[in-house]
Amino acid sequence: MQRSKKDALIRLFSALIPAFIFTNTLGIFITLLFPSAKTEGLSYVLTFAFLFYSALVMWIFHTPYIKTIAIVLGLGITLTGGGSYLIYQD
Amino acid sequence: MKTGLRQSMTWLHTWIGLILCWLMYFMFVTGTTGYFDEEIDQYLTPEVAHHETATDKQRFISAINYAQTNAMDAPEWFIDLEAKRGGLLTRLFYRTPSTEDGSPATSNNVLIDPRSGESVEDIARKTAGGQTLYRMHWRLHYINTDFSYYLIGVITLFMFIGVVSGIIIHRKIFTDFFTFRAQGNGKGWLDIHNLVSVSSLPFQLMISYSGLIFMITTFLPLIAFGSLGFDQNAARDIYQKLYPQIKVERSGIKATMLDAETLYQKLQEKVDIAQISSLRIKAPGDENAKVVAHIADNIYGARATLKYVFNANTGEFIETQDRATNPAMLFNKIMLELHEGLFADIELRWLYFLAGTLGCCMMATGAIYYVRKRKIKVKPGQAIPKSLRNIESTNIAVVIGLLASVAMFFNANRLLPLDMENRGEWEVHVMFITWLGCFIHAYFRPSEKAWMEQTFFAGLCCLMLPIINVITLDKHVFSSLASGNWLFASVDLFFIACAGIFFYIAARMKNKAITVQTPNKKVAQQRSPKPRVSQPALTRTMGQ
Repeated sequence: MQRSKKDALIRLFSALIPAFIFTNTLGIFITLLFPSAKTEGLSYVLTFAFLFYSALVMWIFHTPYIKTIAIVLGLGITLTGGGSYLIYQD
Repeated sequence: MKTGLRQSMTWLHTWIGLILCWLMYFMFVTGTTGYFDEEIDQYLTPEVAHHETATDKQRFISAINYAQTNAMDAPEWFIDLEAKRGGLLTRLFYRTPSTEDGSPATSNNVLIDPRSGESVEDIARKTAGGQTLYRMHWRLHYINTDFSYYLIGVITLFMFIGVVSGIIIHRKIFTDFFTFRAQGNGKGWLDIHNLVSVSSLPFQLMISYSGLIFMITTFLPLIAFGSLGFDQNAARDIYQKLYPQIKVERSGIKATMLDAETLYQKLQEKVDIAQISSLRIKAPGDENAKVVAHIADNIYGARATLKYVFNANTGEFIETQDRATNPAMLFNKIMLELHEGLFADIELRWLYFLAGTLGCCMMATGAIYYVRKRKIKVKPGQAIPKSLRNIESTNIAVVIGLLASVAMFFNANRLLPLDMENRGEWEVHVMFITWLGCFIHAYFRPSEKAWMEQTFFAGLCCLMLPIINVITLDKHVFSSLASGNWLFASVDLFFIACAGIFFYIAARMKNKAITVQTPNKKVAQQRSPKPRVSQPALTRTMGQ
């Protein structure tokens, strides 16, 4: 399988920055939604955050189109970040 | 362009391996030595009678007595009471505050002989010890600690991804496990790579994911902070619940602390001293002074969080404290404990060492296979691409050169003058200077010769250590075997065995190179006037 240098670098950047931001916003969102005590929710989210992040990185290097990566990560960050903001405002 | 999961994961696995395998190999080699860090510490201070024993009471009383004599102005003492895998010494740590005349604050790490109650500083040679070697696997060396921590975090993440992608790309994981192709086409290295990876797979998964758990607070503080609405006070409250700290304010009123013997008896009324892993004495000499006893248990070892708090001046029991906990935190604690293996006895420790060694082999064989596969594709008479040549040189210097350098770290401990300034730091310098030499050698010698010569050099470095011990110490392999000092005997025998393995491999490389080159010498010379061009003997020999 061959990948151009540009394609590989875009994927690497997406894996290191936007995917990391998405992991954080999703983590915050789930912690806020967690029904039990905050310490417990936080512990669960932190424990499995890296598992999710790893899976996300693998998906980024697997999915065929960079546009898909941009849409998924962009939407993900907006929805989870916005959702967290709204929950917190409540 | 659509590709299958296996194809894309193969691409990812190859590139992660190519870019990060050298640093991962360094982490694995130094981390694997960490499973014997205490033993290496003992081996590197042969002047101390580590194999002799002391009672819990002797440890407790000697450490308290020493601290009361030498560190009454320190804000806190930390005493490590656990007998580290048969070790004799007790560790006392305290900070001396800065003084009004401008003397800066200092950190003091004192090793006390429980039988005499004296520090072994004047007896034992200064050494970087096994701790420095072990810390290199996450702190590296010569570079900023914070930067190395982030760097190692990213590498650990990609290592975890590398392991998972490695599982995905093997459709026939068990068939591959039992396959060995020694036809000289480089596939043999892939088969060895599969063998060592699959046989230590649970360890590789555990070690990489638990490594990430160490990084949680460094890499993901935003999740915690963000879920609390970026409120610093709320974050502090949660932190206090998860990691409760016993804070003691100095009252400024002086008080006499209990003497060591009485304190021992008072504590023993409430808790079994043998179960105490460490003691913290806060604000010693003050009216508010407290003794915090950390209790070790069989599951979490040193990560156990139960504490008993006593008044240091009366010995009166005040309270017990424990962390808030939940299944996720317990999972984290178990993973961290599995990573460090502090709970492991000697047999399990050897198993850890074996798994770590298999991890090193996994990196090394993967790196070698990458080069072999591409070298075979080079047609006779065609020059090997420079980039491939550079990768192979780095492979040589990292795979073999690092092992020689670690052996030189041990040799430096025996050879450097005992009164040398910064002796411990120089042991590390010797290690890295040797490694630098290996890099230079690998880049300037033809690759097949560099492999052979560095393997021979590694054997020589390993063999030097027991020989130097025989010449310079009374604790050498023969006397250790005769006196039943198994720690010293084991390390010496281990280095002799490593030397034997390296010499055997070097001899095999040399013989095969001669066998392959002799009949085709004329043809080979006609085809390749330069030594670096095509048909390297090692391509054939090492692939067989």
